Amino acid sequence: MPISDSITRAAGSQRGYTARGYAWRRTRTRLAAHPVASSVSLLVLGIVLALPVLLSFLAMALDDHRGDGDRAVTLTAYLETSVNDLDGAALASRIAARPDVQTTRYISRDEALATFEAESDLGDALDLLEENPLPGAIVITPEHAVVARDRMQALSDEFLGLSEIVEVRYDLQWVERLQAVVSLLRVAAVLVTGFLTLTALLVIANTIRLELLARRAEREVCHLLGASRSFVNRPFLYTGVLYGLVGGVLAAAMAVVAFGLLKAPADTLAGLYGVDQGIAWPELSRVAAVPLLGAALGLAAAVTTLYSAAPGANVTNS
Amino acid sequence: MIQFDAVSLHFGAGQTALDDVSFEIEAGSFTFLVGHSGAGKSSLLQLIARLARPSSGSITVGGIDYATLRTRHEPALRRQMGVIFQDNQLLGDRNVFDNVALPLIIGGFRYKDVLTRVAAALERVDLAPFANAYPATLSGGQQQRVGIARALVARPRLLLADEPTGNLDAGMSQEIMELLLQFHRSGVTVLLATHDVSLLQAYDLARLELSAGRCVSPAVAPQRARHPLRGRHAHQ
Repeated sequence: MPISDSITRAAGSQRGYTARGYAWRRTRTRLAAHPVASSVSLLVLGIVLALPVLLSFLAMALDDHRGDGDRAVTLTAYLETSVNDLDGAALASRIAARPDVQTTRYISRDEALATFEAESDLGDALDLLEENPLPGAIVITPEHAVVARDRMQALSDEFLGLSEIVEVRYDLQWVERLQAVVSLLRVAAVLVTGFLTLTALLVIANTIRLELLARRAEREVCHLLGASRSFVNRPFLYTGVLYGLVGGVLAAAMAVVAFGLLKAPADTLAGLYGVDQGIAWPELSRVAAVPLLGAALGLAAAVTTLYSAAPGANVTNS
Repeated sequence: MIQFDAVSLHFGAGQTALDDVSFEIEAGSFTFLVGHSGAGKSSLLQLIARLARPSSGSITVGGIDYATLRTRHEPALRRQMGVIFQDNQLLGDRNVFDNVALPLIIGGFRYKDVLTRVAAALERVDLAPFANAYPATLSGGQQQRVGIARALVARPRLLLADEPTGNLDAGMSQEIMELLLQFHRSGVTVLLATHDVSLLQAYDLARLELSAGRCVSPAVAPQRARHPLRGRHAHQ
């Protein structure tokens, strides 16, 4: 039997006549049928997801710089005044060879005096003394793993055991403060991310729930016509995935823009803590992962809604 | 084709929809399911379509004993039946073509077959020019014809019709009945629930009568079926 043009026109695209094609077509049609409501929901989702995404971008950037601030942590070992420059430099080399030490720098007694005279108002007073009262010193930069109060103390005690060293000083306080602030921010970020991800999940779940109510008649008709549970549920799963995907794209875009705005002041702050390089832009793969994670979140929300006490859930029982 | 043996259907709070109903309907027959509102007609159709399960008794349709039917096979069973409703249950956001094509999409038919079958079904119900129209733009009779096309497009062996003429005037009811008889003549078993007296008077067909959930007359094929308009007879 020849198919008339009017029939072909009414049928539309061939792709809409497979089970999956039909589900996508229904999903798109429903979204397009309420453009304002759909756009608002997607925008809300994007905004809700943008903050956790931004926090994760920042956390990853901070992780990349973990230890940069620790490089500014040093121990200063003061030597006996009787230790000459040759022995002092040899001791600095011995200490530098230790596995828990990154680098050492020997400061001779003369260098110490010159620095003191240049940087201190009391420099002239030293001229009254017959000989240089300042000892030689070794500035020791420990490995990153050692930058903790107990480990630093142990290292300090070990150096004090050496006959050439009379005193060891170090200042961990500012590093500990920085670490405490970063830890606090990290916990806050995890909590905010958790809450907002849950909110996004609820936004999608509520959208699916409303869709279930609005399309109850359609689901019942499909059920009566012999549709399987997967056929009836598939458009709702796709709706969840589409919401999550588009919400994720919006969130990624917003987070990247916000990251750009935060980058300059963050770089300045990092510089103040001895980090030469500023925070790096998030990698493209990390940005691209956001929509995928959004889609997974949308799918989870749809599955949870469909297989919990969904309105009209009895329709899908067989 | 359809066999009920001492079937009862109770709801909660002691309500009885069907009580010890037994009957047999042969394949290829056209049977009126008769009874007042609340007599149990819709419940009986729901049991046949496996939308409800009997409280007791056994049901066999097309050789399938429902007692042994697994839940996952129920959709496939329903795909072998056509169902027509009083309110036609068309989907308002889809055109006539998509409404009629739905059982074929559900059944996994290929696009080419969908086109061919829907075109043929719309041709048979005389609605081919309306393929792109939306249900709201059609008359009540046209909507019901779309419903019939949808029920029959997958060529089911059994057609269940629940008051298909309930919302239509006499002329349109006649038109729908003619269509159903036409499909029946091509071998489809039809069970049509109605309480439309004029319809029952106009067509002398087999009847299964329910009253207060009980079967008061088994389905008995009449000698002949009168055609009300043309004065000729359509034999069972």
